[in-house]
Amino acid sequence: MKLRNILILALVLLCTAALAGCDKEKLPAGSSGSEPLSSSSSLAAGSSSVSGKSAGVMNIKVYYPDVNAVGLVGVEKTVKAAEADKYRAAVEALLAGTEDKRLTTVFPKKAKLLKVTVSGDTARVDFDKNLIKGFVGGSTGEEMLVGSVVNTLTEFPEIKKVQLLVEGKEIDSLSGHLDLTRPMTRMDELITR
Amino acid sequence: MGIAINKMRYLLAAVIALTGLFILTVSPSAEAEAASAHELNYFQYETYTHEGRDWLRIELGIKGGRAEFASDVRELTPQQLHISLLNTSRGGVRSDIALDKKIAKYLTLRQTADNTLDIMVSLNKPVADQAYKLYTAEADKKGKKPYRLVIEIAADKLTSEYEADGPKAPDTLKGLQGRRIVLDPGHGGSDSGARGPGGLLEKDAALAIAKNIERILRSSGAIVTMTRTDDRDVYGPLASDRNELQARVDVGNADPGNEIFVSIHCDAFTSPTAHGTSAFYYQPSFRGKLLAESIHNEIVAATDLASRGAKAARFYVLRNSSMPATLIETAFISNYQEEALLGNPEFQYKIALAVCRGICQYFRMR
Repeated sequence: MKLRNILILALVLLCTAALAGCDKEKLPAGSSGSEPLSSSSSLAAGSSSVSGKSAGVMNIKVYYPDVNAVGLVGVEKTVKAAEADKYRAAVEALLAGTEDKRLTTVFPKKAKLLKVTVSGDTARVDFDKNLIKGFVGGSTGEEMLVGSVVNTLTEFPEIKKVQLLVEGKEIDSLSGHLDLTRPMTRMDELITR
Repeated sequence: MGIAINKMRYLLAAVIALTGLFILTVSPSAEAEAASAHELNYFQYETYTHEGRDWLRIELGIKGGRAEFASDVRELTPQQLHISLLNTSRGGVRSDIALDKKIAKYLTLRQTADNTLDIMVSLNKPVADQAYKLYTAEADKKGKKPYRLVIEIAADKLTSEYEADGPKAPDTLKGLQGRRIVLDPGHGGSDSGARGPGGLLEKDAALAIAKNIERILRSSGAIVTMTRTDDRDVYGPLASDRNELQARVDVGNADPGNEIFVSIHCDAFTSPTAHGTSAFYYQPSFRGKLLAESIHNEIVAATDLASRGAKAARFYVLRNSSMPATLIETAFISNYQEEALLGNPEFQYKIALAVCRGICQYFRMR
């Protein structure tokens, strides 16, 4: 009796792990050159795992800085989200961080995404006050944080510009370096691969 | 009975005065304040020579054990050394005392509000040019001295003691005569900028480096405008980033004769391994790029810092300055090794000199 319970539990755990595995990020293989976004195999694998749910499965590219902050690295991730929630899902994936030891995150741990709205070609990304409160500063940190949001969202072809907000208000700068008084266009210069 | 005691007191005072044992500066005080926990009960000064230097030692006895003290020098009276003794009254020590005249002229004791005793020593030279020590000494039964505060002042200051002020004569570079340069030490006042793991603040390191740059540029004949010269906000405390950054831009743009804008910062990142030096410019400005590259190359040549390159960035002060502008991220304050460098006065001077060489190079190539 007891043994059977344990076996069932083990089976359930195994299934959960397998499902979670479908959600794992994929680094573009190798470090040379820029990787194309098309990686349809993971998309197909993802679809099958959530069949029957209303949310679609998307393959997105999220940008994280490397540990030395030399630049941003694009990481492919599979997320489940309804079409209307895809921008939010992309920023949430960015905030969630990465397990790759070569990469890191610049977001303060407590920073929370409030909402993402899109009007025309501009995405307005609203964070709570912990984005600024917990930010450790520096030109490089600021560029990596803003660049990761801007580049992740402008991966969607319909998004050309990104405006950052904190608690509903547009911000001038994050820590006194970048000029955020105007919406930011893509920051390709920060991408190393 | 009462008369007898009064007579005795009178007699006693006469005996003391006659025998000459009485130390001039200590006299029975009628206004001893009972409210203070401590009271002065001894005063003495002497001069002595140690390793060829003349010193003045002042000793003030304190009844009631350990007293807290703090010292300061006020901007308008640089020759006066003030020491505040908390919760202390003057007791029987005279309020105005003449000193040796060679090192210090006189000392005054003034009771301020909240029972603090202000000890002021008037020196012959600014306090900044005289080494001094402050410490307390335990009671010395043999020498019949109580627990006391000791003030020691040297007649001069050795070169090594000027260390924090940097080298006395800054380097002089050619090609800067009459050049108009705006220097912007990053952050300041209510905005500390980034903080190093050892506690160094970006605003302090940036100001120290910028002040060295200012000295070298001025001694080379350049006309320098600083956005700030001490620890303060340029617009005002806790202003919006836009107001604060625009205020810095305005300092430079105010004079159409200003030729370049150089902002000095320390870089930071969440991961402590990030390191190196970089210079930023606003992409559309060709001269801004030339300025950033010239300074960056000199910093890389003069230091062991890794080059992160001269790069384009959409920084506020670069985008909005009406002249070629660069923002120098000297080194990473969030990196242990580089934080130590940024806090070192020798390194601050070294990197400042490299920035000035880069500015020279820019004016040569422009």
